[in-house]
Amino acid sequence: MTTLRILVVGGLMSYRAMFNWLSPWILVPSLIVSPICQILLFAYIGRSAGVGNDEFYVMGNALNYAAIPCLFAMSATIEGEREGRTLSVVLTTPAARIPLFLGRALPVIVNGWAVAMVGVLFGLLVLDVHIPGGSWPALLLVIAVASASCTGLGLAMGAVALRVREGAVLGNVLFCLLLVFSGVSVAVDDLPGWMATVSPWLPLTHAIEAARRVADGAAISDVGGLVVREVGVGALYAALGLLLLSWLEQQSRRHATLERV
Amino acid sequence: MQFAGLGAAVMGMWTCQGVIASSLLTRERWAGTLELVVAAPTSMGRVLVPTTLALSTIGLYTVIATILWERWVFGLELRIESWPLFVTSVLAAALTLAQFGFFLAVTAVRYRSSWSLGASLEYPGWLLCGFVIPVATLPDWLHPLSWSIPTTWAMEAVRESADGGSPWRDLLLCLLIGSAYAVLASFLGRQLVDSARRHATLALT
Repeated sequence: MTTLRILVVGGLMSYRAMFNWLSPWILVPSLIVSPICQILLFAYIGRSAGVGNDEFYVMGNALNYAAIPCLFAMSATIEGEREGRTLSVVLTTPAARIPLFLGRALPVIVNGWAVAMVGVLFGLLVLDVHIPGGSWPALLLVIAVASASCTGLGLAMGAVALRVREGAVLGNVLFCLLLVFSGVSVAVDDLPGWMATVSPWLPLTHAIEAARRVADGAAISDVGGLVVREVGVGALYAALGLLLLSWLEQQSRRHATLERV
Repeated sequence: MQFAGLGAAVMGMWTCQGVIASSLLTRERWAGTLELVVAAPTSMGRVLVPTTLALSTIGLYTVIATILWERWVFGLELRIESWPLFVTSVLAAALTLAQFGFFLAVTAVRYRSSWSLGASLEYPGWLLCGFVIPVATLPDWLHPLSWSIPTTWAMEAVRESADGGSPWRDLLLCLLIGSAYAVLASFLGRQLVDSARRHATLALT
């Protein structure tokens, strides 16, 4: 019961306390205006160049923008403890580390999902995107999986942010890598060979492909392999993040650098 | 490719200016130096325009860097018919972006999270200024918004120079609009800072 409380209640409290983007003054420009403008930019580039269609760019960029809260919120909920001088308090509690940090991921997954949905709904209302009614449950699931997978990467980034001072720069670099390598606006098949080799090992790649197929009318069973691979990639990064957290915690205690800012 | 190559070369200037200039005064506030800036016996413009001009020099670096990597990485060799006019157009883009950055900086003085405003301006600028898509392809109702940004005209001047046309009309419009933003910013700067001083909101954290 205590573990469940730490996972759900503790995670939600940490998210609300540490992620200051929930203020409308930040939320609206960062998580509503920006994804919409990114979708518009790439959709218009596609139209001008006569490449792809609106649906291709809406699905790619809407899911890509889920990475922003997943990377930055996850990082903020960990790095924020250090900046708030509360990291030592958190780490001296007897709470198990896995629910302690994974709990912080749950609200972040919902946040990422909601941001991606803003983009999808905008595409549906304003651009030339049509999604069959029967495809919606599968699409909602694929977007949730994409968000969870990105949050795994965010957890790894949050762990690194315990050591790296400029977590925001790291987040922007990772976001740009996902934008280029995950088939967001250029199909993975059209990327140079070495980039296409990296793509399957990054979050979003499989989910974006699955979302595009589902939006074209494919059933969830048709994209089951892609969804499983996306879950696997996310789990890989989440495990890496937990390992890094554990190692950096030990190192910080040993070298007395736990709250060095 | 020439169209996209030229746009990509100049679009970095927008990012350097828009994102940072919006949060210039917020950064002063974080550093605890905003009161000193306001109390200095000089206009806000004399303090802020040198900073936004410095930001524009980083933008100039992005132009050079992008032209070089376009050539070396993508094998895209830009055809520039008139280098003097091309350089003049790029410098006009830098100057007017500094003026526009001054406008952004003062109007966001009471916006405590102005960094988010700056970050969210990146894509709209890329969309509206015609860097990688022609302004004409945007919906008609967006055209006046595009035309009201000096960088749109600077980008047109850059393309005209590269294609061997005359950029002077675009440069004139670019400089006029940029100067209008600078004048507006000088006026608004006084009003907004005075208002912040009256309401004791200068040191919002």
